[in-house]
Amino acid sequence: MRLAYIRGYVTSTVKHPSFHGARLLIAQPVDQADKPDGSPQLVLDPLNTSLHEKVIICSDGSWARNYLKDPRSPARWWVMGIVDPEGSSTQ
Amino acid sequence: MRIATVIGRVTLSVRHSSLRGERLLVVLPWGPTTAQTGEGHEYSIVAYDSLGAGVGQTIGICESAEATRPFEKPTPIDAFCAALIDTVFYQATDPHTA
Repeated sequence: MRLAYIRGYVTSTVKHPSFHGARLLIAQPVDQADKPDGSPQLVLDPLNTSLHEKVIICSDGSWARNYLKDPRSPARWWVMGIVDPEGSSTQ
Repeated sequence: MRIATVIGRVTLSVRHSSLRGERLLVVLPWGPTTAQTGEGHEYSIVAYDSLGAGVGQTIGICESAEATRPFEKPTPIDAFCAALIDTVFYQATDPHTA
């Protein structure tokens, strides 16, 4: 699981059939100093996240396939939770 | 799934027995700055494609073990073109915070 910010979304017409109807958001993983770290990931959004929210993205492909109801889906990353800034800290 | 730009194709003369009629693309995955600047890509990788992506196109690639999920038989693939991306909306920072 990684901390990330939701920075946008993509649209796609031709795609693996398991993604039909799914919202694909762009999540930029960040390091402990909140600086962008690594490639942005396209993530599934079961929580209806809004833009610029800080989230945890999870790479459990098994849950993603279950969510899309397709055991042949190549999906992997999804938004697992929205971070509450009040109760979170790093040292 | 990472966003990537297609920069070329690969054809094989000898292949693993599980591959037949495959289409392989050379792609540059986007880095943290690519959506804004068009630069700063990650190192190029080869991705399996069944959607017919062309050079210059933006695609979504699924990586690691999940890349093999669409195949019925065990297939040695670790990057799979899962979407041809039409539009990308990207804002590097939140305009509502200073």
